[in-house]
Amino acid sequence: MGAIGPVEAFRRRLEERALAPLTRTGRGYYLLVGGLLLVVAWGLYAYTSQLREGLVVTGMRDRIMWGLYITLFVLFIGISHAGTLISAILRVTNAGWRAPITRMAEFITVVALMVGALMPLVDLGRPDRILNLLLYGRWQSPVVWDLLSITTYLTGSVIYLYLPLIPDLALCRDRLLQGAPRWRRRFFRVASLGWRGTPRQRRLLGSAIGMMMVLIIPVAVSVHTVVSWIFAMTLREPWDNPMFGAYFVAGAIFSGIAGIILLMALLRKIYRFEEYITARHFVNLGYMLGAFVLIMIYFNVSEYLTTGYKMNEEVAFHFRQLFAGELAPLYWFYLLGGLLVPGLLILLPATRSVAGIVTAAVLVTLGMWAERYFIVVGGLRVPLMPYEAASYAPTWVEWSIMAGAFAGFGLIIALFCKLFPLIAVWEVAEHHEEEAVRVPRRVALAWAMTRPEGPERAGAEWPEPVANLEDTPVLGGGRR
Amino acid sequence: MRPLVAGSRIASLLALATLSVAGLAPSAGERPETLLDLRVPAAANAGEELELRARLTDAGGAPIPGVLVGFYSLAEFAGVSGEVMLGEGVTGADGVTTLRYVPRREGEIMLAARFPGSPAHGPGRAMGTLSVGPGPPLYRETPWIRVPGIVWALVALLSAVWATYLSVMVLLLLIARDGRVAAPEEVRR
Repeated sequence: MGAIGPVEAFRRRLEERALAPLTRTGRGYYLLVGGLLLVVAWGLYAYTSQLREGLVVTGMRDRIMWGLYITLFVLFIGISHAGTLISAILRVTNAGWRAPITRMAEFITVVALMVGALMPLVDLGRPDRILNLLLYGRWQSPVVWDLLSITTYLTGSVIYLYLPLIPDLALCRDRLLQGAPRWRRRFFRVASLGWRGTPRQRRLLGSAIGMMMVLIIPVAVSVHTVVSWIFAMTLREPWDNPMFGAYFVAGAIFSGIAGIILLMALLRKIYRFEEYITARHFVNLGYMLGAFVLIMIYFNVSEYLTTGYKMNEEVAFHFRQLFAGELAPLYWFYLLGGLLVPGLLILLPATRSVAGIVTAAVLVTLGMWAERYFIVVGGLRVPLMPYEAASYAPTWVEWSIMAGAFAGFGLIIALFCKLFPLIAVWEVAEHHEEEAVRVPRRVALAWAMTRPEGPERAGAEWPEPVANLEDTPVLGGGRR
Repeated sequence: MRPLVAGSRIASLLALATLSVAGLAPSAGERPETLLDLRVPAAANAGEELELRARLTDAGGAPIPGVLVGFYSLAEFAGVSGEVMLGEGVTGADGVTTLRYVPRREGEIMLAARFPGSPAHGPGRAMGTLSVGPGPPLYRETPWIRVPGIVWALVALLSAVWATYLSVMVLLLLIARDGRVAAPEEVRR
């Protein structure tokens, strides 16, 4: 066996590292999955008690009829923007650095949508009545729009997750032959669609990814816009707001970026992906997070200034409950902890590190949960007739179901880690290969521009090539 | 600034004068009694416009002109009952004031007219019952903004998205087929 070039060595290391979670499972993994299963089971127990006794076991009543469940619905649908939207935007703009993180981003989307879409069902005292929506739903109802857009987005996200997985599934099919259970080998064989990396297959896959990456962006935007319209189509302060759609989409991308950063940090640490997911990825996503901090502040100022300037009775009530009343702790936490502090952590060079950006992402996620809560509950607290404001406090059933939902989210991701490579091996390898070609060209150009003139010029030498291109692999295996 | 100052002075003087008149006026117990008569149609249909008519007179039957009379319906909502104001009117020379009223629900509606009293006259109150029958639906069935064909446009848009998904599925089938028929020299794995 002859010497291998740096590109091939990188590829082998990458394959080994990316496939390691599929082949090796430690005790910690089983403990984690066991813990998550326990929480999910507890959530299911709480849900059965809600099914048995009705919504009376929750804190929701006739006036505040949406609470923690709808808060979670909006939060999860928001986080689902992480993936597809960010991955698609980075693909469309051909941002090469995206390669190691797109798989995680796309997967967050699918899992968050699956969990989020369950929440309105949980919110129904009689979930069997969801059929009424299908049988008797009216086109004029935003709830029907929501059902359609979420179904469309979920389907599109699954396709968009699957397409770039195909070459990696083929890699699993070819590499994980020994010791893998039969069902797994069969799964990889079927799911890889007989991928052999032929030029025609590559062309077809490229077309499919191209179509989906362009399509998924407007679909994702439409989903969160429609989610916002469930609120904004009512005559209720603070939901009666024409910019709610844009505000929700911005909030969704914001929480989505935070979601990716958190998952990235976690998986990088557990599976030792430091070579592929570098500080540069965190800083780049941190910049995106920082940009959205500014956008969210802009939306907040714009909303409160315009409604506060007119200050009708409902707005006055809403401002009181947000700034100094029952919801004030959540609001100020959102503003200071969820926007201002993360912004500073990203802005200041001293804290613009992996740890600083992960801290910012944790704060943003908590802050956005708080924001969703006071949008949903705060809106329903505003009295529309001259009576006292209603109050709402989630019960143990709601907290348990919320814990179960988060545990379910974690559980599906944990299971995914054992089924699919978490890093898009072929994309990372291709990007590395392109860089390996591009860098010597850049160096050569720089050398040509700076090489000495006159008698010294004859003695100047070309720099060493970075990669041995004869030994460079291409998409789906093979040699140049 | 001068007219404003002058205006506020006049307002202060007027307020003082009103207080003085109120102070000189007889107390509620001593004020002459008033009689308020409320005329309500015996029956109507929901959505039909009616006229409520109230006539205010003194004990001797002489009309009391130029005073404000309120019209109310008695309502109960969410465990709270009370009078919901329908409108107000100033009595004419004949002591009569009227209000155009559209009942919005079926059933018996209790209506009331109330004169709160004035320095010269005691308060008066009258009640009546209106029996409301069914009428046409009062909610607006069509939206305010009507874009012709908007539903079909949205259905077409949605169909286009799903058609794209379908075409991607076709591409996947082609990928699978190519994997089966590819020549060995084309295979890169």
